[in-house]
Amino acid sequence: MSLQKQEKSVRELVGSIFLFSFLIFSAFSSFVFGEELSEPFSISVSINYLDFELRYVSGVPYIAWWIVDISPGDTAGMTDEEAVHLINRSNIPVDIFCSVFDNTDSLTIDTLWTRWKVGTVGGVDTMGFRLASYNARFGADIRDGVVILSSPILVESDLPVGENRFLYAWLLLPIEGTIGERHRLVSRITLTPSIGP
Amino acid sequence: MREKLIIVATLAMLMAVCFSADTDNFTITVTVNFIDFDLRNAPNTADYTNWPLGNVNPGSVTEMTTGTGGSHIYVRNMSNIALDFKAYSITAAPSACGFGTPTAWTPGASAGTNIYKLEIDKGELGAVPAVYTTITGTTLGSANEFHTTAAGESYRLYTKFTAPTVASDGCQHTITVYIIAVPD
Repeated sequence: MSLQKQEKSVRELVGSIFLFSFLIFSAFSSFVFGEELSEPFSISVSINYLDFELRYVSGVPYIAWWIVDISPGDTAGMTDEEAVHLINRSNIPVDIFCSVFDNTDSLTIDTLWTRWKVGTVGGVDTMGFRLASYNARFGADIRDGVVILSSPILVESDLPVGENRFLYAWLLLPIEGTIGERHRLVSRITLTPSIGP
Repeated sequence: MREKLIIVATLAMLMAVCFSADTDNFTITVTVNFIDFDLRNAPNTADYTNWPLGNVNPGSVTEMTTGTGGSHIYVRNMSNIALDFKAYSITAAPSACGFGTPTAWTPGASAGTNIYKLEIDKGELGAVPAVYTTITGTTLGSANEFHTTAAGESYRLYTKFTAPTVASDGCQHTITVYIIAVPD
């Protein structure tokens, strides 16, 4: 091989080496500055959701239980048609609480009108209230009723998700009263997350 | 004759030089920047996929637990360069479940109506982070940086979740959290 050809070969070899080096460093530059890696994990969670409705057995929202033509000392009880249908839409087991009080907006035009206190039985200016919870609408018995006071009382615990109830109430009237006397009693039903055993 | 000898000698020398140059070599030493990590459970026996919180009260705070039997994440780092770690989360409205109106949640600086608070940071095997980084990003571009590691440095990762204070539904929500590593 002539000297000139040899020199040419050397120059070509050196040029190739430089070109190769340039390509290598360019490729490594994109890995260094553009690379990223991600890994996922998930969190699964549900919020304790409390929701319920009170309806007449006909499906209409429950407004009031009307008690008329009753005498002092009597006990009034809901009929099957008057029962409260508790529709449970909570996603956790719940406890059912109840309280009752005589609302002062039911004053009649009578200076002797006295707000009823809440007791275990009917007495002087004192009423009694019972509430029972059933999964069927027939066969209510006052002996199943829980004594309800003016502070929340547990009626049923651990009501399972998706289950509804029929609530029956009994009112034990005071032993004294005035003809035409009117009272508006407010019974409050409260659902709370079940405390459990 | 003498000229011929000179020429031959010169040619011999040139050939010796050329042959030396043709066989000379040099080496290129390079190390590829290698980014690799995975999320493992606390005892490092399996991949970490899900943190199941179950049913929680609105506004409640749940935190991953410590120890090899805890619920925290072991970030196994097999990279050969220093890394910045970031995170973002995504979620979608759940399917109808019969408990309220399914509504998508969003991450926030504090929990609110259908808003959760997600916090992430490095801790120790036996200790949760003293300070957490709040993760509000929902895309790769808005990811929040929470930790920088040296090459090959693995670490314990903790998450603290604050549930929405009010939720429109009682359905199960799945929040996907992305842990991202980029060169420091």
